[in-house]
Amino acid sequence: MVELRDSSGRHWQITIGTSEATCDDETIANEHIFEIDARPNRLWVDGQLAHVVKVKDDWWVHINGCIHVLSIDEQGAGGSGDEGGMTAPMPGKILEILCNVGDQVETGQTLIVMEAMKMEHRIAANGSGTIAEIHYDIGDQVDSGAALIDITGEE
Amino acid sequence: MVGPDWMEGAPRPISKILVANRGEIACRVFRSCAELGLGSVAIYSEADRGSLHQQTADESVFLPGDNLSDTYLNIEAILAAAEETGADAIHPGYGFLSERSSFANAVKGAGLVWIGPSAHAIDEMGDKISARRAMVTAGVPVIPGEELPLENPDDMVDELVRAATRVGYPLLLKASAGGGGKGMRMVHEPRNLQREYAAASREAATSFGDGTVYVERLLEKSRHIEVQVLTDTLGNAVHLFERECSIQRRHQKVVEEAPSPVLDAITREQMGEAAVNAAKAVDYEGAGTVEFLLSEDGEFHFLEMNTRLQVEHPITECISGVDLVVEQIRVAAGLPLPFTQSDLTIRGHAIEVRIYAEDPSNNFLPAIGPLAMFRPPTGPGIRLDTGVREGDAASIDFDPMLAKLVVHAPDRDSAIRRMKRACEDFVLLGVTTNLGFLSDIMGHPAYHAGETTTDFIDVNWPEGWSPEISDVAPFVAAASEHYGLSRKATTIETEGGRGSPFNPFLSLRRSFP
Repeated sequence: MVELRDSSGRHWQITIGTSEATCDDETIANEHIFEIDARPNRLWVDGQLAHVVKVKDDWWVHINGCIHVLSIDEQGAGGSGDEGGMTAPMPGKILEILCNVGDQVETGQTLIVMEAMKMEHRIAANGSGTIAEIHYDIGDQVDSGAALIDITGEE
Repeated sequence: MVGPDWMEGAPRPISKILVANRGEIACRVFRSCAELGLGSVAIYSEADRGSLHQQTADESVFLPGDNLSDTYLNIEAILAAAEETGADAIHPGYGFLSERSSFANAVKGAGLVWIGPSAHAIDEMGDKISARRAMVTAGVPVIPGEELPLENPDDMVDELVRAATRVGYPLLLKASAGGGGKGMRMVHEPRNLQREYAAASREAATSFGDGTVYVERLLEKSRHIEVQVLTDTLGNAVHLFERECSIQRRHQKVVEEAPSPVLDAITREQMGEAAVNAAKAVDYEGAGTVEFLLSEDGEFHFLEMNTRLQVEHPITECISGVDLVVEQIRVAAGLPLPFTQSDLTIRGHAIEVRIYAEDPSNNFLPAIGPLAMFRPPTGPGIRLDTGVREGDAASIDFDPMLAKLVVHAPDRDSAIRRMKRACEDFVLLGVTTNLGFLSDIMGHPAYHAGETTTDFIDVNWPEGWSPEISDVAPFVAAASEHYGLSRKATTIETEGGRGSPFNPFLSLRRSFP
């Protein structure tokens, strides 16, 4: 079985060669016909040509004029989601930190200003609560996905 | 050094051109050099080792150093590279040093041919305030509003607030030396003024080394229309019609087309004439662009003049049949323009989209990743200008623009259909791009109707854009994983040995439910 998550967050469990699959735990039909030929990165599905390539844990799929990204998801449904912290959307440098540990912040409030690709980006609070931890200082270089700030929520 | 035959008798003959740039524009110029019988020289930094532009040139010179000031902005090193390789002319491309008068002067001072306008024209037009003054003198209409140069960020807060109040909201804070959307901030409410000012000033200081910012009234619901001009050093000047570049995100152009879907023949002629006057006012030489804002009532105002080749120059080349890079080179060599205004006509319709490595569903944030598959569309009337190929990566080192996709067709409707098809056919996998968004713009009724104002994206996607969700793609991914359809064996060696390396002897395998 292959477990995948699509860009809208749906969790898919698909076993090739069987007639059923699940999407968000709901059973759906698997009636697709696949053909693969001797060339890598190519696959025919129901007579349509798809181009595919895997980068790390993501399958990139081009089919019917659209590009889709499906992530291999071994965690199962509910394995991801909001962690309450905020992460850097891209690699870059911290320019400004607009909050302190212990501050009360509200959703949408700008907490950090980053620079990447010569543009400034504002990182806003993704929930209301108290700043529990700030992981970087001004001038620090951060990687994409690095946790920047932890907020303890008041849900 | 001997130049090609056509160069014979030119006042400033050229035989080998160094391009002080990288990426697609360097490749663009190198291809023209090859076709013209001219030698070409690339410069490249560590991050560009093995890049397409390095490979496309006849020769290349490595510029060491981690910062742009060591490489693509290093005048001394660039001139040394020209001397070392025997290049006798320098083409600056766009961005980097293209609009630095000190560079133009240094190139000429070194006895080389500068493929661009004079230092005087660059300075006059590069400073937005002196440009406005020159335009007022030349009788070219300028944007209403107050000019206020701000030189020292710390002392200027009070003055800024007063000026902003006089100019009125919404307003635009612009870096005097800015461009390309950098150092430019919209301010809709007084309470955001200081924050946006600090950001604009800082961006300007980082990108242009000059933190001067000024205040201008923001004209909403307007169109960004620019006119291509071409002048030689013998006093001949023509315009090559307009480009409409209204569809922008973060003040950076995303879709451009020529001609504009709304301009009537009279306005076109007036704008063309104003653009030629603007160029003549600063004794312009070569290819330049005069930008105007066209308001709803049909009035147009001078925005700025770009004293370089524009990113979107290919659409003008499509509709005019003129190769702008070739003309730039001929003009720099001192040759006359081979045509007059009456020789020029608009042929068909052209559209360009800029393919960026960015996430249009997340505020257009730049994205990075490998270009694991890069298969551009083909067919009649399709042109791709790019500096990357399959196997390269979108990195944080440079601008996130990957390619310019250009189509040319007999009329606007067929050009739109052609572009939509081309976007859909582009197989670009491994990094998030705006291709799906571009395709949706091409399919949008407002775009078909020509309602291309500068707020097009905000108006038509007020809640932001999200990609189409597919119910088939997960099955394709699952089958790909199941059969181990990835080219790189390493990527399918997952723990537990799931998926088998691809077997080249397996010619056809079918899987039925």
